Amino acid sequence: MTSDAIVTASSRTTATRPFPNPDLALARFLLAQGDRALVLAQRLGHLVTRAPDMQDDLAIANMAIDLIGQSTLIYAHVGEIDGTGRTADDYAYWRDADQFLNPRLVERPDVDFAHTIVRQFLHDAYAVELWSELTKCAEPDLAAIAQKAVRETQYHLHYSSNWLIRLGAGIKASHARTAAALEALWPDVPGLFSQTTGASLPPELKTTDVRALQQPWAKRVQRVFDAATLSRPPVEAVAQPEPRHLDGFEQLINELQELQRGNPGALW
Amino acid sequence: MNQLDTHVQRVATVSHVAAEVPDPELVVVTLGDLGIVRRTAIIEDVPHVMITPTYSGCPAMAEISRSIIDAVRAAGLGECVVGVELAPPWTTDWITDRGRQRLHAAGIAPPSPAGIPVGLATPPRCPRCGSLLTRPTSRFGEMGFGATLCKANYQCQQCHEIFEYFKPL
Repeated sequence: MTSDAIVTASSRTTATRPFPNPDLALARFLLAQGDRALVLAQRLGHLVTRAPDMQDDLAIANMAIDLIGQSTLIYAHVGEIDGTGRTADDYAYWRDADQFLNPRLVERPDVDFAHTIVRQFLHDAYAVELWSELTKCAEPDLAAIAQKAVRETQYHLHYSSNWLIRLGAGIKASHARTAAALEALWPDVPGLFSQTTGASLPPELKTTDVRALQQPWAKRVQRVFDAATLSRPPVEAVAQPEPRHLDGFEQLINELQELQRGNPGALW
Repeated sequence: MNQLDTHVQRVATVSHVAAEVPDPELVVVTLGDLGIVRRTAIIEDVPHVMITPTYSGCPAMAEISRSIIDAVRAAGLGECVVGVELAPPWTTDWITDRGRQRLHAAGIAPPSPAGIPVGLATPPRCPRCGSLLTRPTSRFGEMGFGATLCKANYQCQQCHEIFEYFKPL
């Protein structure tokens, strides 16, 4: 069933409400941040009970829940600042796949564990920079969300960095797979910093353009690449090409939304 | 007792009742021990309790709100309203000394001070034998994760006890 069909089937629900794109630049930027966290959580959720061992299963599930929590808080905040009063659930469940603003990196499938770790590491290094910057923002709730999120993300980055080093500097096979994953995901790096969705951060920050985070990010990842004996892929990553979402993204979002759209307003 | 005294006393009672509610996931400590209850007030005769979330994704928040409402009602203080306050953000540094003692007594190592970079903090003391020779149970010894967002699994190298460590946040 397509998501359109699901929406039509659930008459007399929030699904019939029109969802104009938030027009405020900050709201749109934060919406992209909520989408980033939620989509990565959904990807990680696929690995639960299927990770290489019990500890990694726990780690991956924990990171996914942290990310769901961060997206929930960000979505709720967006609903306040874009003037629509929408809830976190409205944003998560009642937008179609093509309305999601996440960077493409977080949609990448788990081809092998190296892909999972490279995706997580490139993301975590970005998220630490981003949340750290947002902790300085003048809006107390947003700063508080960021302060909590940056501490949680430090644990994620610690985990993904350790694994990247272990795989990269491990045996020939693990090095080759990790290098291949890095090369495959590298073209998605610019998407983290451009987001085609408007890159404005709150004006009171030192860095009001998310592109400025790329330099500290690059420094941070280079240190770990060195320890992992990995080199930066030779390809100069270019601005995110169309399409913005990968094949299979719609299916990922349908899976995320299926229960809520089939049973609108369902609660645990 | 004048009206103001009565009001102040009622607010204090609501505070006390909310603070004594056990945490739904970590029943050895109370919400007060964890530092989750931020403020209480009585507005137009309705008790209000403001709480703050622990981890962003803590699934216990709804349960915590319900428990507070039930406890305040059971204490004969009426139907209360529970609100959420995000700022300032909760940190494990807010866990009280009594909370730390209770965690320790339940075999959970209390958190070390927050803000030390992950991986650089000294390991927790074994709650069973007191040894500092402890390490995460994860295969390669990195700071692990655990059965809830707030805990990591550790093992004592001295007495071999496997225990949970309340991660600093």
